[in-house]
Amino acid sequence: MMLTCRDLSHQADAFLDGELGLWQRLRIRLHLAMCNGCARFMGQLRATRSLVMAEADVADTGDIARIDSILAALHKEKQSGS
Amino acid sequence: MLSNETELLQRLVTGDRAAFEGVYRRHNAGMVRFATVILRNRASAEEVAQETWIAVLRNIGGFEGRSSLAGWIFIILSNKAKTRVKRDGLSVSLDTSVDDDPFDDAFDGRGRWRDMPELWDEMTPERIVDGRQILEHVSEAIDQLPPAQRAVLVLRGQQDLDAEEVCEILGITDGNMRVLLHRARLSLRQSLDQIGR
Repeated sequence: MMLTCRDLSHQADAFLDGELGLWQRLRIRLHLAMCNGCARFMGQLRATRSLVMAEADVADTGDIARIDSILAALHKEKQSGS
Repeated sequence: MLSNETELLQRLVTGDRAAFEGVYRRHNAGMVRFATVILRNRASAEEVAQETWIAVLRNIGGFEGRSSLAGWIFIILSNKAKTRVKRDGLSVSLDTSVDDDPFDDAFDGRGRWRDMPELWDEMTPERIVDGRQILEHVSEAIDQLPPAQRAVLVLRGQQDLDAEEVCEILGITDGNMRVLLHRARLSLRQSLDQIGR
């Protein structure tokens, strides 16, 4: 049976995350080839997923002072333990 | 365990500062965001993240690779955050329930789109590099998600933990995790969709 647009929207994340089997992927690709609305929706979700990942990469540029304090705490711990 | 992760671990064990800086930059913001979900307080979350890093470096030699390095770090973080919450007499439970899907209203009785989704030709990944403003919008939208959705999005959608690791850390089923991730991405999609209007 053909997937409806609602069905496709429920499987879209698993599709983008590479979690679906061959048959399920084929059904989705077939639907996307015929349905402009779902092709746009999948494009939106793909962009959202990429933006979320990109946000994680720029969220912390690395605080040298914090890194120093972690390493200093560890060094102190090792010295007091030895 | 991936071979590049094995190499990274060896560098961490030998106290390679550059290796630690790389791992810290990759995970720290996500750790603070995740711990904030549990602790409901950013300052406490930053303290717990710092304690976690010290524990990670102290015990890195004993890491056996049964989970990914990121999964191991987040399990330690989660345990420390839950311990802090209990110590402070707060509730550790996270509301992971999901109600009916409001997105189902987007479809008619035959499961077809009521309104055609917009074409996002302005938000291709190529534009992300210069899209600082868009990313700031994404940050704000993530911070406004319900706590359980935010937690799943950070662990699965940003830190790339395995589905099983996410379920173990949050104590939820695979089905529940997938619904929470789906809802989170749909909310962000809707938020982004409103930018260009």
